[in-house]
Amino acid sequence: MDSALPPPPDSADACIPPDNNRTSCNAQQHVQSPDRISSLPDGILINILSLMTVREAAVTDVLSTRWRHLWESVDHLILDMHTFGMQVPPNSDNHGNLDFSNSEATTFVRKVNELLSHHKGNKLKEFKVEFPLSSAHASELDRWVAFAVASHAETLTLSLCDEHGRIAIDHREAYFFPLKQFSDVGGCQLHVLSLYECIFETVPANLSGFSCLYSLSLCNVRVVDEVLLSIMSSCNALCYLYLRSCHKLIDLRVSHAQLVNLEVYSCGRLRNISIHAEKLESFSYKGRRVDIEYECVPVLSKLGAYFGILKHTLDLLDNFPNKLKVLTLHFPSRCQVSRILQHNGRFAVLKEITLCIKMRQSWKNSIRIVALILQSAPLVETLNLEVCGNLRPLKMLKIRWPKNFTAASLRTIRIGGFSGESELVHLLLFLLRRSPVLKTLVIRTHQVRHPALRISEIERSKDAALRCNYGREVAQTHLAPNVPATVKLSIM
Amino acid sequence: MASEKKVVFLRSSDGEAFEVSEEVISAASVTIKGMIDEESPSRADTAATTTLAIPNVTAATLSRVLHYVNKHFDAAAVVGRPDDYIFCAPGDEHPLARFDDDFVDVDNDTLIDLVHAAEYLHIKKLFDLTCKAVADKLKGRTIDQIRETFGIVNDYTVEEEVEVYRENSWAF
Repeated sequence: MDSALPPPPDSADACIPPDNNRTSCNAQQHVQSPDRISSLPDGILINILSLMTVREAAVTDVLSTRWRHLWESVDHLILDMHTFGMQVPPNSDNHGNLDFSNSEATTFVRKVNELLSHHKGNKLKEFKVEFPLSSAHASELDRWVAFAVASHAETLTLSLCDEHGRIAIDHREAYFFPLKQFSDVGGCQLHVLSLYECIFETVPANLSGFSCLYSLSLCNVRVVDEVLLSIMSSCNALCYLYLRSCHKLIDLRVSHAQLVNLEVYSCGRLRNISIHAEKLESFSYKGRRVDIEYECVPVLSKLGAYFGILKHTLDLLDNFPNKLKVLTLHFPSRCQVSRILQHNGRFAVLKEITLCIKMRQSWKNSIRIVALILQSAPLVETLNLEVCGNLRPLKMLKIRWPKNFTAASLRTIRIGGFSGESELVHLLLFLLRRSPVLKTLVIRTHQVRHPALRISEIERSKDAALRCNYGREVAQTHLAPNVPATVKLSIM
Repeated sequence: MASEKKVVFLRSSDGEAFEVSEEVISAASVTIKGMIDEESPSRADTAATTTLAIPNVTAATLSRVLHYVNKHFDAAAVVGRPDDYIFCAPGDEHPLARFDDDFVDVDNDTLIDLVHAAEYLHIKKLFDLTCKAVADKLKGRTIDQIRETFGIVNDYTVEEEVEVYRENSWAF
């Protein structure tokens, strides 16, 4: 990677005396200057440089004096292996963690330190560090967090693992996130904080740096119940709380006046969740069965249930305190799903339903369940299907669709991760015939990371392109001709 | 009140006038919306259509900008509203992705003109798109290739250049 960039020049040939350039600028009135890009104002050039990796931006420093120091004001600092052209080491231990030699971590730390020593640290939109580091580098990490605070970063991400979530095995403890740096700070603009692989310990008295925080994501963060409660009480503006694999949490008490969205995933030792949140609209849960106490949730109407065991989904549905408007379900296994329908009283006022389906094998006998769910939810206007499938040849299937079925309110169908599955083609053809008010059909071939669908093997771009192309082709040839003129079809 | 769609005329720096729906251009351009709002009291009782001077943008660029604006901001022409894409990650394709790709597949000067125009007219989506296109042209190229592509003249002295390389050695 490093060799892609030229070495510093050692001859004077490449250099043109500054005067030449000045004359060509003066002649701009008559002859169009060939160097239009350098005529853009600083603000625009910095905006352009902010759209590149900071390393690519810094390289432009050598273009000409016009570009000197411009990169030092870029407002996005994303510092990861990719930024510095470092390779993910192939060797890992039994748990898939990285056997990082100290020298790689040292190289990363040195490069970040050099970079930060030149950056102006003016108003940052985003500051992100993603590298497997531990308490062995605590003093550097502390300084980087201090840099983010001093630069009024709006978004701060500290991800002390690589992009696949693997951590370093240097037998050192995880990093203690320096909450104290956020106490008694004026003018802190932090809106979004995401932490991976850290420890929260004691909470300082006045956590004023969190007063504008509206999104807090903690993933593999060691935080106990009391500490989280105390942190949340300082986040007056918090709207969005995301907790994943926070295994120290046992009794999660969420008591917050502003919180709108709560997501709790795979917190292994969690036993109880109590929620007191007047503005909470959406709650999603994935993990083992827990007791959920809805103390005060007057406007909660969206539920995401991602259980591996159907019974737990049903419990969650049964205990839901309000009328469900939006439901997102993970289909745990194909055969049991019809039991969800026994709870169809819950679906009476449902407006939007999202089904996450793993479709690695044939769903021939189960796809009709989607129609059955729609049948039991007569007011549904939007059906989303998030599919995680793979390429299979198109087949003619005989599916027993429900008789006398009409999706009377269905206006929008969106499918994500479409790979041209025969089952989905049949489902869509059926729904197109039976949905009189359908207005929009969106077929997206791209797969997204959905909490319920862990796309285990990261799709390699070549495979993904192949799958997407096939999906688009199937949609064009088999679906498009059957879409009535009243329905707007988008294939992406 | 009036059922027919109001239009405005935009006059480019080189004097050419372009017709555009007032509703569409107001949704797209903060600058022009401001101009229309300033004008509106005086023209409430007259039937005459408004002509706005856009002194910083040439006809060639303005016609491109309006092509973009009509594609992206005309509610009747837009395929799907933004809320159709709640599941789309930022990197996802959207229905106009192909149009956008073709739109910025132009020579450097045209692209820089579009950046200037988008900034002046305050059309954020177009500004973001064109800046991204410029960034993409800078990315993955060596210094010499960037200089050649954009006609940038290296005006550093040898000593200065050595110093700049030394200072940014972490990036090389």
